[in-house]
Amino acid sequence: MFKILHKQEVAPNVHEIVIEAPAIAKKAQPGQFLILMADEKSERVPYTLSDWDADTGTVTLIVLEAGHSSRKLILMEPGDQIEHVVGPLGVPLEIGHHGTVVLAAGCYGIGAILSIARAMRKAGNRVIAIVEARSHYLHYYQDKLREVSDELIQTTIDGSEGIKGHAVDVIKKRLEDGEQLDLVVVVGCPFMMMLTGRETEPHKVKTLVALNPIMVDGTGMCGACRVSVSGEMKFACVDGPFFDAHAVDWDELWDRKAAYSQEEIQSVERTEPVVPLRPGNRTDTL
Amino acid sequence: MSGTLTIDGKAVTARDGETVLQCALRNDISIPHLCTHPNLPPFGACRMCLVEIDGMRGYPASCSTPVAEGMRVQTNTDAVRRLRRKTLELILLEHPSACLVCDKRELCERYRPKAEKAGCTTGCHTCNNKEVCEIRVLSEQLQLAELPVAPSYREIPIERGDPFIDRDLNLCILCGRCIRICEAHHDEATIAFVGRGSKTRIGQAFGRSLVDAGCRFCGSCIDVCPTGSLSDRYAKWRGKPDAVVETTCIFCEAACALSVSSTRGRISGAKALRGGVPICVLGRFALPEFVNGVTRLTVPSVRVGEILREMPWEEALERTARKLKQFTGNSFALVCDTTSTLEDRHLFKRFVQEVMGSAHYIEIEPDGRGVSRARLPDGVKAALMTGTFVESAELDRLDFLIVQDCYPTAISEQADVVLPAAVFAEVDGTVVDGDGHVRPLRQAGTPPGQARAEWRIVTVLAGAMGAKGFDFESATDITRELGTAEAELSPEPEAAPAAAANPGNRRTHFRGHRIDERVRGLLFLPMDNGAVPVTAAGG
Repeated sequence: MFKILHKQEVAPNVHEIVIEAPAIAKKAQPGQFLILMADEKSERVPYTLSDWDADTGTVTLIVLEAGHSSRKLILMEPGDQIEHVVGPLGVPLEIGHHGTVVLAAGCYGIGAILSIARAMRKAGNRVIAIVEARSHYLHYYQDKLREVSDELIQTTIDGSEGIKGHAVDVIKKRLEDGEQLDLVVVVGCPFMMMLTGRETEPHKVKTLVALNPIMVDGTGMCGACRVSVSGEMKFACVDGPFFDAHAVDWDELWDRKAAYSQEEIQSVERTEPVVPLRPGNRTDTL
Repeated sequence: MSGTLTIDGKAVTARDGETVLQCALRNDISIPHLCTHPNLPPFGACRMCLVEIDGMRGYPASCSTPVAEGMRVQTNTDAVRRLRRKTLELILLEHPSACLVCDKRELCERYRPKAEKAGCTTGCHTCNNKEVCEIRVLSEQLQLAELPVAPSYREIPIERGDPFIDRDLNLCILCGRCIRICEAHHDEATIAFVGRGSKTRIGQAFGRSLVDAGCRFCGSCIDVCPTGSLSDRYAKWRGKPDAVVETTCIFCEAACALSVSSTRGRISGAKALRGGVPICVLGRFALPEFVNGVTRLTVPSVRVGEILREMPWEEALERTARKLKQFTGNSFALVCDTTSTLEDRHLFKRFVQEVMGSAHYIEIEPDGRGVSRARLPDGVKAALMTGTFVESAELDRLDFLIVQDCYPTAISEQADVVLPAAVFAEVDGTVVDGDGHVRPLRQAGTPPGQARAEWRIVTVLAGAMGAKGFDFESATDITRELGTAEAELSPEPEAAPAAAANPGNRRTHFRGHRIDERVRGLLFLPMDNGAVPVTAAGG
């Protein structure tokens, strides 16, 4: 059991959860992820590590409510116990000296690039963090990111804060203006990662994307997370999560992510009130 | 008045009492509109339907302007188009609208056409209403491209602590349709505008929950909401249905006309066909969850030794027929209730009389709560039951029990043969309502697994018994043999059925099953004696 120490909705539908997990906090590295089960009947869902503190033994995740299992998590309160937290999983992002590193992020990715930005900057890189959101009220962690990056650029789709458009539009503009970008790392929804890869490819800028397919065990056993990269089959859990954006078979990724869409909807089809998960009111029947 | 007027240069004839908007729409002249609704009187709040009328000052709202002889109406001038667009821009400042002005909208639609089932919605991409949204249609009609100033998010916590209904008032544009339909449909409205000025929202008095405020859960507010603000918790992520079928509700004898939607053959929603009068919580919310339960009986099974063994239909029915031959005459009984169609019951009766040679065809009319109870006649040794209608102690004296039902029950566990039946909106046929009218039941969804319409099961069973005259191809063939009157959907009633006016009047049972065991939202709705059903004794 892993205790929730703190929980806060940092933007609508975006929840920051701090969990007591000293063993994981001791080993975690930027770019890694955890697999959580809110209760004994939960799915196993991967969440990218946002931050951790080896001294206090805590890890921080950004969780979006996007279905049955994430709903269970976000309905829990500080003091509640999460059934299983496994990690750190995945190959850490290689933090070398690259030069100018762009970290592009959307939704949960905004939290996920925090530790990456810190490490990249510490390694001597010039870090440009570009965060995108639909509107100004969906931005979060701006102060934290400003502290750990050389430049923080905000974009909004409706133009209500920062640059109007998406992170990819900023990257595209900078490349077209002749700016030297040595590495682009994208963490967000597959749509954003795919579009960014498309724009950096003609400029031959190395672009890494953190893929987020369905996972079960997270240790390379089940194969649920397989993705095709350069025509080769890879497991996102043990070979990833970071892959070359220009070599990923995006169509296959879309298909795989949608494989259980009907069942996923079925799992939130209930007519009783949505109530927090507590011993005694576990009405789960599925 | 009725008379002639011109709209956009086209001469049209108005009907008595029509508004300019109604007259235009009837004549295929499109005028954008939002707060108005066919089941509601004009309101004139949203200003989307502004037009220019010769001789009238300003820009009158066509939804609340009565037609007049000789009127000359312009619906599409630069001035009204601009006014409408500016008004929509203002409306959208308090609605998550970024996806409407996104330059990647086309690509997004191609790669992810389905909405993501987020807890709270922050754009069309995470909105349950995406595929049927009236705001999206309007924004396209009015060519919305940008917002004049930064929008604001109201930060109202999403409400999902009541059964059946989710509310995310951050999407609400305060058109008032939900409040007006609640007022029109019920003696006392449950919801109203709460607060003033920029704090105005939809809510219940004193911040009570919907249950505590006496909501009837007729779902009419959801049906009229133009945004994703109010949603049917069960159906919300299914998107736009593939098919919609007009059929009859058979939860009770009111037999309301229903519009039942489905996605990939799976029933996903139901609502009143016409919507002028509310239907009850069962008709509006219970059907999809009742028929889609994960524990539905899906494969025939026959007891072999100690265990019920699943087997193909043909084999199960042949084994059943062989065994049944030992129980001809009055040692056999068939017990059903009126939740089976007239066609099913006709074949049941013929089967009992012609094939089994028994007088014991027992058809139960459920009581006011839907409870069906019967006693087996003395001397009966074998029975076919379509539900839990008999005390289980009575079944102990049977030598052979066939249960034909939709869910497993205590008696199906005891049975020698269990046959999975298609029920309710999964079948075609006819039923008789409380006033004796014949009403149609039309198949709106695919039965789960191998479950079959009951008349189909009887035709095969009778065939396996060697009987002749049971070779029907469709329910309609049986209707013809029955010679019943032409079935017609219920007209709109004058007043709300008893259970729609007060959900405490609803039925508790359907075909021997407690409905709230399958539709768990009902557990939170008190019955009219004040007792919450979860505490009531099991049926």
